[in-house]
Amino acid sequence: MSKLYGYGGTILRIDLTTGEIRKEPTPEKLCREYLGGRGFVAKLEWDEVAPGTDPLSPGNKVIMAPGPLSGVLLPGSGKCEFGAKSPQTGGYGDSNVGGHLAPEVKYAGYDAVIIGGAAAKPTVIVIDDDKVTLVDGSKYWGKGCIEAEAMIKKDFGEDFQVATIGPAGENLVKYAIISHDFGRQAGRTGVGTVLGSKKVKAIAVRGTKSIPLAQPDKVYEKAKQMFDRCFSLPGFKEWTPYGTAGVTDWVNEVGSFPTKNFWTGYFEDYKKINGPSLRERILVTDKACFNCPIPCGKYSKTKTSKGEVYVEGPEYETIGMMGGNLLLGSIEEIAYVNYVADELGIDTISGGGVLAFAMECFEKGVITEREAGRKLLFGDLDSACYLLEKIAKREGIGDVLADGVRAAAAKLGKGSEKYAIHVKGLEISAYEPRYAPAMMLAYMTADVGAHHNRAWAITYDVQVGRDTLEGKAKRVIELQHIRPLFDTLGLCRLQWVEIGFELSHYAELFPLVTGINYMWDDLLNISERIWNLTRAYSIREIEGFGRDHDYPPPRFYEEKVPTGPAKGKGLTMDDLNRLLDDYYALRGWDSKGIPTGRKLRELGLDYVAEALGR
Amino acid sequence: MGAVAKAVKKVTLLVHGHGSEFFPGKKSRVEVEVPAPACVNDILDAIGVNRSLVMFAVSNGVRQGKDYVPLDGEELIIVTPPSGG
Repeated sequence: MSKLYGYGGTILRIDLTTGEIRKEPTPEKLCREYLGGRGFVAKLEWDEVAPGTDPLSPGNKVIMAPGPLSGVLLPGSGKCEFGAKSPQTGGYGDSNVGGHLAPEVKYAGYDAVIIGGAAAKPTVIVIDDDKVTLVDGSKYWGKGCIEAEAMIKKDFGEDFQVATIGPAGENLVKYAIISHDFGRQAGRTGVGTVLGSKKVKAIAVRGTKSIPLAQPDKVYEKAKQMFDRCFSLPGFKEWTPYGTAGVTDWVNEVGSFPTKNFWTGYFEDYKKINGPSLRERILVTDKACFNCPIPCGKYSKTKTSKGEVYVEGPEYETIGMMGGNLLLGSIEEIAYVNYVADELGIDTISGGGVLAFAMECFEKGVITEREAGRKLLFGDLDSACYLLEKIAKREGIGDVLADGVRAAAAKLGKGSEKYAIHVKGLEISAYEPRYAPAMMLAYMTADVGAHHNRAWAITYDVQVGRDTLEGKAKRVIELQHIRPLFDTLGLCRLQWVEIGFELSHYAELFPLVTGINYMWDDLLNISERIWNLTRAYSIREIEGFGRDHDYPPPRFYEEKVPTGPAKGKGLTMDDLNRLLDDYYALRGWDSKGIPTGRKLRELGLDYVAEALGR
Repeated sequence: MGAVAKAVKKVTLLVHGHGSEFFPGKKSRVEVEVPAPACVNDILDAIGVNRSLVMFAVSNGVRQGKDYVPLDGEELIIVTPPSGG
């Protein structure tokens, strides 16, 4: 086998049931066909988690995978992918985290860590270069994510990078996060829940090795050029002060801000919870991930009636889902709820969706005060914090809500499915899509369920026309190949999406790091392969999976936007069908949304075609 | 007496964010000649970019609304939306 450049060279397997720890060389074929990060997660989930496995059983596996460019000294190379069969959707699940974890895993020599089985008692996985041990984690069990991270760093060493779960993960709340770096999260699809089901409280990693590079001098030269380019881009100075929160005004001005459980797309108090409010009222300092020239992290200190706390954030998604969507009109209060969710280990996107669902159910009489234990009111910080605590502990109404809005609506009945805003069981993130057809389609077809990071297509809607469906499917597909490619390579996409850093840089860099002479189109082809594999995974795991799973909740096609700049706008079922028809045709899928055998074989997925009988 | 030539001004747009892909030539630096006076919105109309695609402009380090009228020869930073989170 030829030498692998850009890779740690080893895959680490941990069986928590037996305590067996095994290492094997990273297969070159895996690297060439799936690259790393999300690609490794998708392939390993398909190969190693037996069809029909209960996501919370020992048979499920949590896979942690940096990418081939993670840890290399270039802009934004600090991203790490976590994946598992999702307890939230029952299909393919993954989530990506920044911070400093991915480089550390690479420096310890690993391209993937596969965690299977289940421990008998709370455990911390300690990876210290070649030495891997399973340590009793009982003293950390029950602690908050950030508190536990601080304790583990104190016990094992500040130079360890630590990923933790909180009480929500321990109690198997289906949208529990994996937290890292005091406020960065692999937040979506319940990867923290699966870690909790295995009784893994934390993973601590220290690595001291180097990453072999195919052409080190040229990598250095290119990386320096990339940093210089980042700093010289127009408006670079405009991005850093507000980070992602900087988009809050614009999303309101185009009528796409999630407000009151996606009842509408405009929040009148948005100026009180926007980027400038964050900067002027609560910011302590900017906070960057590994090797990031444009720190979007905002470390804040907030004071509310419930106390004074430090928190990383809030980011835009949290401002949308726990601000407008809960009608919380103060940046201080949003930051406080952000802190509570982070410490408990709850995803702020799904968590915001669940809280808003509960509040609307209360408003409509589906949940009574007696059932809830108190009033559940929009715009009320106490209601939000109360619910988060109940959910994390699975107490009372919290036990129902801990399974997410789809499952909660199924249990509560009384028409509450109308208020359950999700696709495939994953709560929708913070863009109201009724007057943004491409964004709607992006949510409908995202492989993990409704998540914005696969295709953020709303600017395309704005530019080419929000009343037309033409061309929207093509654009969504393009983005679904480009954006997840960053998660595959182990890079942050924000240099590209936020400051307009050119994609050509990455195409030039990849062969210099890996020695694999792929052009940009080759990388995109692999991204398409991975996309079809993740779709196939959900087809394999969810009975009857297909077109019916791609529709948004009824609110998005039965109700028009009632207020704001998008007032009176909305999509019909005919519109949604046209979007799906276009999308499936362009993807080479049949009318039920199943990849054809021809398409799968064209992408080198013969084994998938065979498994699906295509 | 001959016709009076219309005043034209030249403005350089430095486009921030990946919204630049919707600007002419998908460039982050765009030079535009427009009849004077013209505000940012007028300039966007002239080059076929939807006004709503731009959040605000920055002139000499000062944030400006889209009704701002740049001077002849001015370089303007045009800020397009970041994708949050």
